[in-house]
Amino acid sequence: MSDLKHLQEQMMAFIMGQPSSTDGLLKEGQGADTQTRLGIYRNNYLCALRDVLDTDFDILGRYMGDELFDPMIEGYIETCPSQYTSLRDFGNQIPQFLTETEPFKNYPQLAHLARFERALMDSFDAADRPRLARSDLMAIPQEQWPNMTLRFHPSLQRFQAPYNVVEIWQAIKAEQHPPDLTTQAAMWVLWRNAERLTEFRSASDFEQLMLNGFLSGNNLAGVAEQLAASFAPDVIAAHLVEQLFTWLDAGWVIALPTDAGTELTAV
Amino acid sequence: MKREFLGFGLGLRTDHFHDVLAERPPVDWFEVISENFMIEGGKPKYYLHEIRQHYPMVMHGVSLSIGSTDPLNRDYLTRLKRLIQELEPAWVSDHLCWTGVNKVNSHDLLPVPYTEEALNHIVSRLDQVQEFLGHPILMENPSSYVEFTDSSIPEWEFMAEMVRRSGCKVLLDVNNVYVSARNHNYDPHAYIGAFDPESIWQIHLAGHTDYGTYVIDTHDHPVCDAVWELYQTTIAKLGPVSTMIERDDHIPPLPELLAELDQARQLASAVLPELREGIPA
Repeated sequence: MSDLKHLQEQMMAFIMGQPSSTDGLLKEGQGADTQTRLGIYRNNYLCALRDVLDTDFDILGRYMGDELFDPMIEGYIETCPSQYTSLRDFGNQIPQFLTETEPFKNYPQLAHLARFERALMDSFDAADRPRLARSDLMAIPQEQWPNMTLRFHPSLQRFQAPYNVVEIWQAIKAEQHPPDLTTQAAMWVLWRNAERLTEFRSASDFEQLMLNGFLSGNNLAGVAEQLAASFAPDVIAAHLVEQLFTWLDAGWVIALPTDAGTELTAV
Repeated sequence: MKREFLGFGLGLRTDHFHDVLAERPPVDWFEVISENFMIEGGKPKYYLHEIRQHYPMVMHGVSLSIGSTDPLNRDYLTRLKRLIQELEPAWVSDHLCWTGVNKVNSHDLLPVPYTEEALNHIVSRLDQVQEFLGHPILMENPSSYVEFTDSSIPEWEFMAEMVRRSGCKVLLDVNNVYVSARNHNYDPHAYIGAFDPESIWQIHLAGHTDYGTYVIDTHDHPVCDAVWELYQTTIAKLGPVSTMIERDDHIPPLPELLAELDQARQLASAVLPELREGIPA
């Protein structure tokens, strides 16, 4: 092993709080001793990682309280050292860590709350794409509508959790007492709007079926067929196009390809 | 990419995005942290591109890890190159440091030992990076709190030799020179005098925290008098070099940083007659 690699491994081990052999590595200088000086790097390391988790999981931290959140952060830093070039990604494994680690795994809502905070971040800096408006849909000849599929804005995500973690997130964000934990099966949709603000809202059963259908690549006729298994024809007739308009107004749709050789894409 | 005098700039920070775009403050150019914009889109990218329409920019990275014994991160370099193509900065810089080893990132700028082994290693990697990017990059002198027993070359000679062998340029952080000179008891003027003046393309100014027996490069205070003095002596020797103020913590409102930047302008113009035109008396 080269001297350089040996030095880096020992210094990195010290910084990470692991057993290390730094004796003889450092020159004794004037002023502070070598352990104090090396300690500056250990402190910088811990502060940078703690700060980013504090910021990125703000609501999770407030929900858990310092007594649970601080040891969670310390445990995560020790167990999942950063392999990322950007600190933005350091918290990627927090949901998994919460799912697998005592005592956090005894509170399964924590991992889902963390997952929601990460999903908000992913919508915040997802790619930009020009969006279509309802007038673009109206410009497509009606005979092509059955074969029409939808392409969604890159920031659009579905979020589902077995607990009311989104309501908990909303209450804490509004500095209110969070509701009691309940089980639920709601689906939420997150996206970034045209003003570059991240939004989210729950989807009705009808909208969930529609969205899941289009996201699976089905065309409008296929989606209508799927809806017919759960809803009456008059309900489908009343809501399907209205729902498409809602999505277009919210800026969810970036392309409306049909099989007539045309693909309407926003420019 | 070539050395040009861009004037007096600031590090672009999220806190100031809106004010910069709305008020177009008298800043000659901005430096952006490359990693902060290695994202697909959203508000930060929007502000970046809008502000770029009105100001020259340079890119400053913190993750190249040129001194690490890990292989160069090709994915990072590809994303860096993509951002360079997107932003067309005047130049791109990073630090003489390593940030991690065995794939673990400390997210800190760690010092290298100044040895022949490290010099050969770093020059070889700089060659690869510059060939991949298609132009020279700037390397910033580090601030450091430890010295290694292995080090056999003074830091300034190591830097100067690295520049000679690799063709890279220098981002001279005057505050870092001051911090390391205090921590390791050397002459900051001798440090700065070691470089070919033409190789210095950019200057950083920043604040630090003085703990008496050591100094930490915190970037959370205004530039101190001793660093201003060192800057003025430096710029008098170098001639006009693009200069900027870095603030990363306790970021004040923009007018405070503009006032600090004016101080840099005044000090530089006092020793460089060519800068006096247009500087308020």
